[in-house]
Order: sequence, then structure tokens, then C-alpha cells
Amino acid sequence: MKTSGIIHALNYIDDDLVSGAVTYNRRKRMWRKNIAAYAAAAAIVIAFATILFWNNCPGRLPFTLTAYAEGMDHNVSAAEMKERICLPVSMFQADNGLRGFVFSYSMAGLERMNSVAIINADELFNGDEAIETINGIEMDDSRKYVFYVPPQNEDGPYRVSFPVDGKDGNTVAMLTLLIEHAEEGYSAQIERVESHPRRETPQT
Amino acid sequence: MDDLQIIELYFARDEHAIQETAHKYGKLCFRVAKNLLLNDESSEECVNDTYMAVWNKIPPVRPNNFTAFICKITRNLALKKLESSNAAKRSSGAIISLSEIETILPDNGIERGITDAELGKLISTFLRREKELDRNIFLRKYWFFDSISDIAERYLMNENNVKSVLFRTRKRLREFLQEEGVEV
Repeated sequence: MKTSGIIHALNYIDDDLVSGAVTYNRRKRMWRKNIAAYAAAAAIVIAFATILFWNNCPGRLPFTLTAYAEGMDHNVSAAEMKERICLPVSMFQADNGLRGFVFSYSMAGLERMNSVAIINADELFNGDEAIETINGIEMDDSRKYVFYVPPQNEDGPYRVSFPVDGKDGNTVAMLTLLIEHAEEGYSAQIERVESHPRRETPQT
Repeated sequence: MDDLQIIELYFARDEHAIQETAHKYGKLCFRVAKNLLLNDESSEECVNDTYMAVWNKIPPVRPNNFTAFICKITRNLALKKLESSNAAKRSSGAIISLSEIETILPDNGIERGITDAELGKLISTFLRREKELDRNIFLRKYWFFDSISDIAERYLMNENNVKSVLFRTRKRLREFLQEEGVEV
């Protein structure tokens, strides 16, 4: 029988591709054979890292940042964000027509009036865009809200940075959040935190 | 014994070279041959012909990649046996592989205006762009002529996934060759 030219042409492919196909299998088999050893080693590393973390960790995040998401049943849930842990987030409609992601944190000091900081990726903020209410979210006077409007012509991922008051009232943390498309919507995580002592504004 | 040492035995015309080659590569060569030829006797013959061919080629050839060198010889010899064999009319995994790969490109080198070596180089370029797993599945099927079930077992996948990977890779190869100006 006649065999195809492409079959013969395959004999001219680079040698490392051929030998790669011979050895690739063995790495998988080595993994399978040594899985118990790898699992034990991984457990030791994890245990060590956990001990190290709890002994040396400078502490939990100095603030509490809450992310908001709307479920399939249209119920809105609020979840506390942890560094580098992805949480589902959704876009919400504000009373001024803007649509964006919502985050909130407790206000330091004695302020008890909720406020909404708008970060609009496409436009500079102007006073006419003030937000009083956000559909689906019952706003709390003790919290400050961040309403992030992502760029309209980009699919993401999105990065947004904003300052958050520390729980102790003496620090300000500059957060960078990463918002990405997930299977059923979006997810957000705290990508970076830089804490600074709060500075008193000099009286002029 | 590593490949460099085995090659040195060939250069020294030491017959232990063939023993060492058989010890290290015998099973691999037999598998390559049997995937095409199906029966043990023809496959053994092909493997012995491989050892003879390697003995005759080295020296002066000093292969940089002995694994590929010996596999290519075995594959070529097995394909020649297959082409001349009436028994090839029986259905086999190799025949199925051949019919699948022929859908990508007609087999007439003159019509397509490209030599086998040039086409081989293009396919190398294509394969390097593919993910490692997809590349190796493609090679195990169309170079080594492993069966779908062997590939699935080797890479811990189910057979449908292997078939999907092969289908998509063939499609991408066809598109790549068209972009490179090879008439398909």
C-alpha cells in the first residue's frame, strides 16, 4: 500500500521533537510512581510554611474590605476580602446611571456618614456623578464605599488602586485590586497592599 | 550506558555497540515497528535491520540525538515493509492514522511544490508552537502510530479527549500549512 507523503515528511521533523515524545511519558509515570513521596514532601512543606506564617506574619490585613456579588438568584452577598484570594464580584447599577463593581470598608474615626468614592476608569470624576444609592446594596452609614467603573472598551482584567483606612485609625493602606473574568461573571482579589502611617493634615 | 558511550563503541567498531543498543532501545524500536507492522516476526526483522543500518551508518555519521536517530531508522524501515506488504490491507491503527493524516495534505510532492524535508521542517515549526501535551499526542499517533487507547493510558486521559486533541491539532496544522503557502 502507498503511504502518504506527509507520513514520510514527518521523518524529517526535528530530532528533539521525536525524543521529546519518547521521554515525555516517563515524567508522567515518575510522578505516578512517586506520588506518595511527593505528597509527603508537600505536606511537610505546607506544615512548615504554615508554622512560619503564623509565627512571622505581621498580622492580618489592617483593614476589612468587603466585596459584593449578585448570585443567580439575584440575592446580593457581601464577603470579606483576603489578600490573593479570589472572590466573586458583580457589577451594580447606581442611581446616577453608572454601572460598576462595589467594595466597602469600615470608616476610621467618628465619621458616620456613608460616602461613595467613584473611580471611573474612562473619565475623570465630576461632582454631578455623586452616588446616593446602589441597586441591591443596603448601604451602611459606618462604611465607605468604592464604586469602580471599568473601562468600557476593554474586556479586562482590570486593576484598580485606592486607599483604605486601617482598622486602628492610624494607618492607610493603598490597595491594588485585580478583577478578572471568571466562569460565571467576575472575580476579584487583593493583589497588593502597601500600608502607611496616617499623616495628620497640617493646619494652615 | 549513555548514548555518547554507545556511539563511541560504534566508532571503535566494537560489536558490544549493538548489544548496548538492543538493551537500551530494543523495546522502543520493536514498539515502533509493531505499531506499523502488527506482527512480532516482521517487527523483530525490522528491529534487526535497524541495528544493521545503525552499524553501517556510524561511522561516519555521529548522531546528535541517538534516540531520534534510531527511531527514525526503524520507522522508515517499517514504513517500507508496510508499503510492500500485502498484509497491510488488513485494518490497523496505522492505516487509520494514515487516512486521518492524509486529509491534511495530498501525498504528491510535485503537486504541492514542496519536498518531504521542507514539509518536515514546516511541521516542526508548527509542532513547537503547540502545547507540549498536544504536540506529544500528535507525535505518538502519527509518528509512533500508537493507538488512541495507548495514548490515553500513557497520558492519563480518556479516549475522547485524545481524539479531540488530535482533531483540533490536525485542523490547526492544515491552517498553518495553508498560511505557509502549501497547497492543501
